Amino acid sequence: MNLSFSRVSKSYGQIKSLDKVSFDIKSGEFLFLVGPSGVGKTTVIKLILGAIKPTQGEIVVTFPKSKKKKGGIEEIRRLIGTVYQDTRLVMDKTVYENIDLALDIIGTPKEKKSQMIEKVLKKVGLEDRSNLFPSQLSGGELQRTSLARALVIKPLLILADEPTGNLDPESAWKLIELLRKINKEDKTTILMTTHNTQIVDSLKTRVIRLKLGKVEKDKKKGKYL
Amino acid sequence: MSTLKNTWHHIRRSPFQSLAALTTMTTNFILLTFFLLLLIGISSTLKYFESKPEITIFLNDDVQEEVLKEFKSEISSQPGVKNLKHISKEEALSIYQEQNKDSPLLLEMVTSSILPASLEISANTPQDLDAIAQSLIGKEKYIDELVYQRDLVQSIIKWSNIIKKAGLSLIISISLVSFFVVLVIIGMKITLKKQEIGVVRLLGGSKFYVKKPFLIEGAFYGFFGSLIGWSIAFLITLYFKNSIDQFFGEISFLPQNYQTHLLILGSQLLFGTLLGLFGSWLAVKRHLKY
Repeated sequence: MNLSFSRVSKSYGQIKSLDKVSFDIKSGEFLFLVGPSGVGKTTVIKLILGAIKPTQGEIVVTFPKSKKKKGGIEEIRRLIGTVYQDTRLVMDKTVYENIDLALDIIGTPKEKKSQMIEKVLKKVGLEDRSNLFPSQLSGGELQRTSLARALVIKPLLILADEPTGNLDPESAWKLIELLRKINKEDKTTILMTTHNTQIVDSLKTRVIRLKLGKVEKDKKKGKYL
Repeated sequence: MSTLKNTWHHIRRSPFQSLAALTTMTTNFILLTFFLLLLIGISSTLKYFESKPEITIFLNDDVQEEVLKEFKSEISSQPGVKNLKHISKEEALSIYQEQNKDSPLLLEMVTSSILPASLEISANTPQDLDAIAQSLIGKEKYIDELVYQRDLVQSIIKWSNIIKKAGLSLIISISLVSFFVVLVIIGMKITLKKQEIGVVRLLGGSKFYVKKPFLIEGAFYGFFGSLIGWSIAFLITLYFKNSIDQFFGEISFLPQNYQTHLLILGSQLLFGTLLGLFGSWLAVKRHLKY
């Protein structure tokens, strides 16, 4: 799945969140979107998900032939996994049910579900937490549940919006390692927004830095600053 | 997770709201079942009286045998008269004694002299009764009192119209209350589940995927409310059936076959489901903002 932002602007009334932003994301890439708060990182994520529409410019999503979809934004969302700082898990559903929800939405047959859920729970190390509710989990476990929900649909792209924001350094690193592994093994494209300098600098991967709604820097093996 | 499982999840997680919706629906359909049975009963009563077109003439005591013979043949010659029966004072006493055999006090003071002789006229059709009644005008010297079946039928029609109007108003009011209860409760549930709806949409759930469990929930309240309501009303009716049948005697006030009861059940299930579905549809339309 390739993604292309071409001179994309987004304004909220008088406030310009993005100003003629252009970049391409190629299939299988791992990249960071960095910059201070309010610079437009979350707006980029929302635009990709179709939650908001650009004021100007064009966003082109290209699917591999096998995943070609006719439908609208909902079809695109079913190919994208999302991980948020606030996890966005359904609080009155268990870990298992939260993951099941994602599979139900994409119409996975009932008989395949449990095997897929067990596999993904094993991948994120939550096999023994499947019957717990989000309120019974630690911050790291919540993020891994959120990641499991994103992974179970075998997404072409994972959008991670500051997923390490609420985590202690150890949990944050565990999550990043997991994302790296998924990127390498499954060739899943990962776009992650973060304020964590250490993580960005040590991964030596592509970094797009936004400043005042514009792309300030786009480097293949970049650093936070 | 199937839609039905999802709907059940919605119902189970807010049991008191669900119970309120179900109870209102049930109450509505208990009353509706009784109302329908009452209408069927009134209709049967009307049919019974209409099938027995009759005029009863209570005769003056001073009518001579000869004059009575002439009067009887005059009535019998009327084209619409099916049957004419003379009840003498002695026969009237026998009837009175039979009707009051359990109340000896009422029998003590009564003799045949105080009871009037009468003529019972049956007509071929209810319309013939009018012509027969018209022919009796001017014969007051023979007649002490005239009881005209049409008056009774019209009285039943008048009361049945009042009952129909009052019942319909009651049913419409309660149906509206049920509808608004479903609307409000589904609306509250949508508001409570805003976060979950947002997550579902984020994961690619279609608008219909989000709506479906709420719509089914409304239909569930209507379906089961009408089923429970009908069942309660049916059991109560069954319990009192013998007493009601005894009270109405020859008239089949309650439906005597199960097909009528099943027809009531079927139509109520349909009405209930549609009522609940409409309430939840409006709630979804009003409260779901994607």
